[in-house]
Amino acid sequence: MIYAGVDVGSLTAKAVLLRDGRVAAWHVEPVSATPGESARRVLEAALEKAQARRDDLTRVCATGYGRHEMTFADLERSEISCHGLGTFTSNPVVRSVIDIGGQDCKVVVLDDAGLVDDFAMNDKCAAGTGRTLELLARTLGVSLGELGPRALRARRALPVSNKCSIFMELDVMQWMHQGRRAEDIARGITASVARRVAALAGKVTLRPGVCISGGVSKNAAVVRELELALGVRFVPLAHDPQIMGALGAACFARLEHERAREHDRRVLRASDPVSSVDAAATPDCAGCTGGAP
Amino acid sequence: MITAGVDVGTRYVKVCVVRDGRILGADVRELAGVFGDVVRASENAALDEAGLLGVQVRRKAVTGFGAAAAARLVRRAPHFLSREVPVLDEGVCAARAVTELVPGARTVIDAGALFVRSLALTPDGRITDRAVTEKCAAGSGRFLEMIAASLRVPQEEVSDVVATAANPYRMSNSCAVFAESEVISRVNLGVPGPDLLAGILVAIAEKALTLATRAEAAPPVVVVGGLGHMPSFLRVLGDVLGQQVSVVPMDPQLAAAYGAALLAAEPVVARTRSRGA
Repeated sequence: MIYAGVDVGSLTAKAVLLRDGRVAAWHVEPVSATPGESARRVLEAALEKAQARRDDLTRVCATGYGRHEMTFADLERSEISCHGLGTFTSNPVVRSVIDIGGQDCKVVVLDDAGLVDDFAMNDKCAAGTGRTLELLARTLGVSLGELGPRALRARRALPVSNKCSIFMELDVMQWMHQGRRAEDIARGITASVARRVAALAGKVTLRPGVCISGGVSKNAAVVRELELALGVRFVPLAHDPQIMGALGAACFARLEHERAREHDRRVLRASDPVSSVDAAATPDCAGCTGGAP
Repeated sequence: MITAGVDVGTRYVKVCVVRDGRILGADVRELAGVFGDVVRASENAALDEAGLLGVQVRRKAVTGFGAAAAARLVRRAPHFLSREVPVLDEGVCAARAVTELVPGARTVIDAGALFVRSLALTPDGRITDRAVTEKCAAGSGRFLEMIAASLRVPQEEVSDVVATAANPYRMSNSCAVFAESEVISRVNLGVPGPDLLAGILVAIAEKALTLATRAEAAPPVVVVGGLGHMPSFLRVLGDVLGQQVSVVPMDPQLAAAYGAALLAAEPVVARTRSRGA
């Protein structure tokens, strides 16, 4: 039995196939054309990697920004729920998830079953998201991938505002005008983004077992600053942090299937005369004195 | 007495050389490249236009976001005999320019590159209340600049393009960075560029309205700052405020530099240091 989760975000589409409770295959590609079309393509690519066909899929769950446009999906779940269940599946000790993506930042607190207990989200302001890192790396004249390593080589963090990406850009430009080292400016940028995320995390009560996901988790400097700011050490994930949403969706597809099967079994039992007698009679048997026919 | 006002904003450097309230020479230039070189070049250009030598400028004052850094440079300019260069608050400078040119103005809206400011004045020109954007660049000139650049509309054509808009488009994102992505996706969906730009102007005007309300704005309202160059912005702002607004009768972008030059000539100069506010 194969369950599929498809996550179409603002920049990339992700698909995960779950077979026997394990990740059988996954695929990530940039969003193209319409969300529905991207979803179809990424799912086909994952199926090919798993050497499976569309007919082999038991259930498909959609999530992400483009989830309403996936007509082929059997069910939909929010990004928050999927991120939570995905990280919980990837590492069962996870109880809090900090997800920093390109367009938003989420902090999700989970219960012991991996379902959402509480969350905080910022999708109104770009400060504290990957978009800001992208913007400021460009201002500084380094690639996005280089920003983290540069920041780690810094001697000090030059203060950079954390109120607004445009204000941050201005601070960066002023440091550049003064001829400061790019490493120290990069460190200021990563520290500022981390402060912003830590402020969002302060809105909920984190449970021990904190992990980080989303594209920004690939920036080692932001990760380190955030660990310092929150006073935690992030627990590792067994899979690429980018596919957490799709993995969670696949898990929801499985949960939904199991729930439906359980429901069918009950209905079946109720309509089957022999098993319904058994089911109904068994509790009464405790006080039975042996007079049954 | 000949005085000079230097306004170092977040995007442009503005210099005004003034004698007895009259502008002799002025310069506006983009802050790109080496900071010190731009400030010095702008000062020299304003002096050249006035046909003056540096030594003839008796007093100077600086204002704006980069004022503190600029003060050191301006003080060390060759042939400048007075070594005193006060750093003045932008709001105070803008208000001084307005009271000089529009006596009786009660509200000043300073719409610049990054900060939008609203000042409430008494009939004789003292500031009684003020409000300024300090947390976010939503509703700033930089916001408009970013969107215009992503639509490939040159700054000087923005106003005319907006005038052709049929239905101003209302952005769902107030963050300038997110709005930029939203604009790109809307363009792909076929929303006309003029409608998108007009929507941004409405958003900026609404931001100014929020500030003006906080500072208890009373008519007449006078606009200074770079956005004052845009007739379309003045029209939208007038609609949003529900009252006539006028622009200061000079290059509105130079208003704070002009105010600084006027204040430099006055015996008691308020020595307020400010950063942004």
